Amino acid sequence: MTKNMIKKLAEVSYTKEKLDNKKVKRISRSLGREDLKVYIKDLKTMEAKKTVIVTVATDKGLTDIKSYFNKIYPSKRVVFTIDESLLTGIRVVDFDNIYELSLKNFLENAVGGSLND
Amino acid sequence: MINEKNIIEQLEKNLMDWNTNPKTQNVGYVEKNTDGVIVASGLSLVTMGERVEFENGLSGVVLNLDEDYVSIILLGDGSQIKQGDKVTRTGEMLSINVSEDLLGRVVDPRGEPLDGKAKIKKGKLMPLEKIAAGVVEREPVDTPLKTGIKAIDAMFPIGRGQRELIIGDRGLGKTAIVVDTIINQGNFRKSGSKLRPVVCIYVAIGQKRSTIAQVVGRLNESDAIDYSIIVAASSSDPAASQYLAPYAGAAIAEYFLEKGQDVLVIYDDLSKHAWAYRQISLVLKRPAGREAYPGDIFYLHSRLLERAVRLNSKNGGGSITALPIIETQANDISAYIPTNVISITDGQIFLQSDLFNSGFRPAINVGTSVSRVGGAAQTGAMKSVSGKMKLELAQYAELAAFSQFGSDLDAATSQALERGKRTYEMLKQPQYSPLTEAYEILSIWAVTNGFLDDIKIDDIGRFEQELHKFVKRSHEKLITTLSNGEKVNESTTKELEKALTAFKKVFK
Repeated sequence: MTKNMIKKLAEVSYTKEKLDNKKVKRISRSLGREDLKVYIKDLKTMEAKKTVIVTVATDKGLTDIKSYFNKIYPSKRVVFTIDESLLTGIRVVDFDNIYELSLKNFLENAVGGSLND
Repeated sequence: MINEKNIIEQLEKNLMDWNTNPKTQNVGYVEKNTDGVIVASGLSLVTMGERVEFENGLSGVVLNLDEDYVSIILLGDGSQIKQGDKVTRTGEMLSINVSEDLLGRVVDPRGEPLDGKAKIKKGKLMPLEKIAAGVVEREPVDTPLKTGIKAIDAMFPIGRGQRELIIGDRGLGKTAIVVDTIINQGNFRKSGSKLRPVVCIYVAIGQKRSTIAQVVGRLNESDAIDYSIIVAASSSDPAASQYLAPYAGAAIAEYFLEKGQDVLVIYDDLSKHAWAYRQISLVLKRPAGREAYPGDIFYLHSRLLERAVRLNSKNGGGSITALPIIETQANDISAYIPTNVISITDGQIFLQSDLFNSGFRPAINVGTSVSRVGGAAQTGAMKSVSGKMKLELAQYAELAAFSQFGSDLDAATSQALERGKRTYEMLKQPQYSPLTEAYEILSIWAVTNGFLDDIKIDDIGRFEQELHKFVKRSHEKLITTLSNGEKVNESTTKELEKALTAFKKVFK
């Protein structure tokens, strides 16, 4: 089976934007070991594409942030995490794009820049 | 030295211009690491030829863009890179930091010093890949670039902005010719010529480190290193470094070109460059063509050599002269890469093993060598003496073939044969002793006007050396006249005759 065919199988494993357990089981039973590995990888990539991870420093105002991001990404699953090392600010990971506005990042740049200069 | 005060000042400065825009990054993750080529997922915004960075600070260049993956060639040791490592897009095309401080230095294709000296910090970032100057910005080649080698300057002259290929088997003196040419640029600077001095860039691709060290040593000895830059990617460096080395050389040359200077770039050698690119292409799983080279092997060299240019005065009037070197196997110039590069360049100097073994050095094959545009750049003085020599050599070649069949030769034929032998003997030149144009003209004029006809062939080398010393000592004005580059007129001819007659009286 070609990689493109397996990719199509991964695409049809979704029903209404959600991974369909029944379809996945059926497809995975019919695939060989090598093809199954590719299939799982494709599913993981598709999941990553459909998921946005929002990281904040504290849980303060998390409800507002949640509703804000759910509006921005209506067709994606938004996952919220807390990372105190950000100090303050936010980090959004949308598949292979990372947007970050945090005090940690600023300090790293400021100190890094000073040392380089 | 950095201190607390500096750090605080810098932090305050950074705080003042704090950018409130979020930091955006396009990232990918390593899927495979094979033979210096990384396959990564993600990086959906990356462009072809863009530089990417790995978590451990190592850089790479994107060479393949697939639907779900990108292939990256590494610019360093990739043994530490493992599956799942993060790769970040930089948004920069691969470039090299260039400034005048680079003169006299030995660097790798990324500009990292290889000579143990400090890293060049301040400079201009020059892109490694750049579209060559267009037709409107160019001007025909009209200024000579002297190699200091009689055979080349007289018969296959090189002009500034020309691309002249040096081709031959291994060990025939290809590198010796280019090293002599670099050394000669120093003599040219000292001679106080009206022409601009030339900045020399020697790009070593896939060579042994000992060979590179020899070239550097030779340039150091002759003080030629002061106006030279060496870009080295030795045979032990990754194929990616060897592939990028000539482009780094071209990028450095373009920095000086932008300043209106004349530059000479030597690519030693493009056969190994083609091998490095073949290796990368095969690892990247690109379709293999003839001799397993990829389909774009011609474009690999044409886009590099097209960057050799003579700009018009509106664009600064600078030039880049390229001397690519190709190593042949068993004198076969009809192989794939040699024919490609022959068709790209403006001529070739073919070195032949038979000539080398018979003691004719530089072992230039006069029949198969050619310079297509350099003639226009030759000075009037050289043109006036070299024309006759070329004709006599052509006659000699024809007669020599005929004379093998018969024993009785008429006087004219015998004389032409003897003259030819002496001309060939005179064209021999030891390594690392380039001559100024005046001495080249003096030697050529002497042989073509019969002053060497009665000299034993074995004595011709000594005759020439002593003649140069004699003229320098007692006819200095003649050297100045010949250095002007003007056509040899009647009065100069008389002066030459006078000097030669006087010398022959004292020569034993």
